[in-house]
Amino acid sequence: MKVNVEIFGQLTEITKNKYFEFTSVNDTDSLLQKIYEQFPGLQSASFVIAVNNNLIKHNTLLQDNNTVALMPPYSGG
Amino acid sequence: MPEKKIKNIFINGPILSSFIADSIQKHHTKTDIGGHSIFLGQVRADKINNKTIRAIEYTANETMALEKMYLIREEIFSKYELICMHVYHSLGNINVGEICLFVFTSSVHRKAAIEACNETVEKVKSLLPLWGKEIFDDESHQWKVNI
Repeated sequence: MKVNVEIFGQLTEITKNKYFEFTSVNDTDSLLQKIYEQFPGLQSASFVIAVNNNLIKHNTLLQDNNTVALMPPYSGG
Repeated sequence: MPEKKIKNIFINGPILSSFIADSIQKHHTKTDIGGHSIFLGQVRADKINNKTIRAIEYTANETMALEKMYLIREEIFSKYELICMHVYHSLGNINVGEICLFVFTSSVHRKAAIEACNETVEKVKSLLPLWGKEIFDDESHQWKVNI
């Protein structure tokens, strides 16, 4: 099972790239754990999470080919 | 159920004054309109620690931003007696002095247009997944924070 991860805004300065793929993750908590292992700098960053374009507040089960977005505080306008 | 119509709000580069003028011109045939309200966001040359901002580079989660804008539009139309509403936001590099946000509301009487315009601007700034990277004149940068 594969999950696509998309990084936005200032978070891309920590991750260097915008797009990632992770495998063997069942839910957003386990995905975050893997992301934090790869990018420890994200642990102190502020962001919200969306799964397939829907904001989530709690741990969420993931399906194959889901897209998970990590989005820092918005600053448009 | 009416079809859910997602409108694009994004413009690559600055919003030109000719585009704004054309938008106003297009409303001349809508003779039930008695008042327009327009907000224009302009990139400001802030000075921070002896450096001056020369541009803001905007990026977005476009799909989520357009979905959210659809919901904001629905909410604003249900709250105010509007005839029409147009919202545009720039993506990419916008230099100081250029326009990056254009909100345009129209109503029979002024109050609805003015209040809807204000509320839409606040919602665009706080609820749309957009990010501004402020580029200084020495090419260093910081990330914009909305207050």
